[in-house]
Amino acid sequence: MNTRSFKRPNKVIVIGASAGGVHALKTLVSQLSPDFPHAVIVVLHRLKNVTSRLDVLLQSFTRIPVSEVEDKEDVLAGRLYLCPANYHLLLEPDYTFSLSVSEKVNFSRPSIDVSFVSLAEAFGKKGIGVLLTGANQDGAEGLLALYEKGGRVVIQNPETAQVAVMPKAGVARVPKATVLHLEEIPDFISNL
Amino acid sequence: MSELINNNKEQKYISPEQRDLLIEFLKKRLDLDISNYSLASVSRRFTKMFNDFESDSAQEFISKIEEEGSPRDFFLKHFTVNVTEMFRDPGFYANLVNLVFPVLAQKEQITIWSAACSSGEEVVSLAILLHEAGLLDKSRILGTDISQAMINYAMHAKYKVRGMSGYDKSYKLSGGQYALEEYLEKKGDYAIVKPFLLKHIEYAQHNLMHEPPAEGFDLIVCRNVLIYFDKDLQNQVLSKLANALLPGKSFLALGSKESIIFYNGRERFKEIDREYKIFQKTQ
Repeated sequence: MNTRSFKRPNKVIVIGASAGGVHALKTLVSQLSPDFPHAVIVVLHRLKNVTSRLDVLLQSFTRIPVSEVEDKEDVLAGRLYLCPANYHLLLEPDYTFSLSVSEKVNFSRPSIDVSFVSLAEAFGKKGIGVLLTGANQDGAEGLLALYEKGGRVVIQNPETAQVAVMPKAGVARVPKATVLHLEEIPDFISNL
Repeated sequence: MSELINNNKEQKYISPEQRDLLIEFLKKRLDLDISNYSLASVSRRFTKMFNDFESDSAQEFISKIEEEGSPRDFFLKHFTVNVTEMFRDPGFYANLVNLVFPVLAQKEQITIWSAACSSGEEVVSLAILLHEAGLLDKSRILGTDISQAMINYAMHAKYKVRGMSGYDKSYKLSGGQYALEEYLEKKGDYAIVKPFLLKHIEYAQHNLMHEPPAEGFDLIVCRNVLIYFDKDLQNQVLSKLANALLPGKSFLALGSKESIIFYNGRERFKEIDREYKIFQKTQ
């Protein structure tokens, strides 16, 4: 028997990252405890037609079960979900995922903005958006939508991010965001 | 501070109330029932349309649609996702050729349905690979889409040359043996599908919620469409697709992140490709 939980998460956390993201994610996920009460969803800009096993890689750094999202899968507590390459990831109010292959947004599919906006609409105050390192401005607009719906907005400190463009754009769009060093983020989101 | 990001137009997001008003309008006035579509996707499409048409309310948006000569076609053209490409997911096509074509090769005739084919790129890709496998002469491919505008586009069989170099790469990764130029004739900015492929292709308008356009298919390809439906509607559509397949030795191909788990009759199928979601109908 496995001991995985099938509970609804307290909060739904979407983490967006681009250039430098894999390295940052390693640090972040390795500090999450197995009884983590929230769901973590990672939306990372990736190359299409490259079958890199990012799920396997991230799993090697964390005790939380990691998997790539399938359409209409449940959003459960204590899990780490990875957005598949070449799909936008959306959240449904009934705690399931929907995928979409619609137009690129900010030249990206997945687009972090798309997932943050969907998080805001589906979960509002129960939503947490985390924006990490990256070389473009995807995510900033979605963070604002989340903030306006009462969700928490956390941004990696641009000064210590590998690439500052994305977190900088986030802070510019949501000046009241909580800005943290990468190492501080796991503790902060665990205790929300 | 926010002036730093100059390309960010103020986005308007549609409220759940406005969304529901629109859903009701579509059902009552345009005979389009999208109440079992994925809510998150519907919100996103509506939001995009609101912003594109600069509408501030559902009422304003509805008035705009109603001004059009054919409101239903106009709405569908903008609402449905028409992002498609030739040989999308080359690994899928390669596996289709390796796992499914050998079984199809044993048949006297092959009928294939590309469901929700948009502007036809998938249909053309299938025809090319069937040709290279020596199967095209006994094949017929039917492409259908809910949008008549997309079907018209597909029937023109003209594709922008701009996308072709990417397609050529995907074609080769799919196991393509020659070059796409063998199949598409360049004329100015367009590449036109050659007649020897087109004579095996038909297009028709069709809504997946209605009864299938024909039955007895050997292969149905319906990729990245179910993702826009909720579990209930996935079950309904999968049941119709299953019934349209020949009993035994017929196949269903879905998108790589889709599944048959929400289909009540899923035991009728055997999964033959886990990664690319190819199923064989066994009962």
